[in-house]
Amino acid sequence: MKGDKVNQERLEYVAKAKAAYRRHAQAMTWEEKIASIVRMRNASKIAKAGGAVLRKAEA
Amino acid sequence: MKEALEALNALKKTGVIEGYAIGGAIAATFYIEAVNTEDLDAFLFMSPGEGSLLLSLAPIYDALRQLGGVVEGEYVRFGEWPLQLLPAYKPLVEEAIKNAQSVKYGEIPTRIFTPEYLCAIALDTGRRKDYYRVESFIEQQQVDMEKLRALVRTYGLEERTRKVQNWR
Repeated sequence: MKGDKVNQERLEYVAKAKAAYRRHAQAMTWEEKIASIVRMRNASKIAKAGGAVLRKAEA
Repeated sequence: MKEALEALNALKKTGVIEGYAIGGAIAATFYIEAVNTEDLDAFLFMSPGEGSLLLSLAPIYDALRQLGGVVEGEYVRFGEWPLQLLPAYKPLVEEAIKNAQSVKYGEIPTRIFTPEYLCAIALDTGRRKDYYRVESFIEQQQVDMEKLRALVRTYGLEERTRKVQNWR
């Protein structure tokens, strides 16, 4: 079926993208990984602050 | 993080602590993909002060303050990293510190738990995120399962392994 073929292609694309992401993530040095944790943390703070701003605006 | 590691090295050099090793998510991140975390966990070897049978963290907090740390509750903040000090509280952790491996963060020497001890301590701690960490080590083939199984047997953690979805 055509639909099955499309889904299979998408699945393969996602699997390849995931594998590439994983290879990249594992190839990082410890320092690079720590820097990415700091970025994650900052992004999470901004998201939380944004949420607070939205909640205030809604009130 | 550099400042926190330098401060820990200074504590060891001046004899405030006998030794330390980094554990938790920051140590795990050395081996596996980055794991989000808020703090840096340092497990310490320390001896009771002269004439005392009790372990006190007070001299350590004082020394860290002198090294530029800012005490915030149970943490000492260095730059953007809150450092949590955890005395070696049980044989598994003591053994993990003894067997920690020497690594470098940039140019700064430090010591981190090995994957097997990180996983054993995660099993012992037993929160959902700890089991997930063990699963990540197994999935990414970053842990010696023979060594981990030996630690699991020694420290009676067999029951906990049932909660690790990819345990083999």
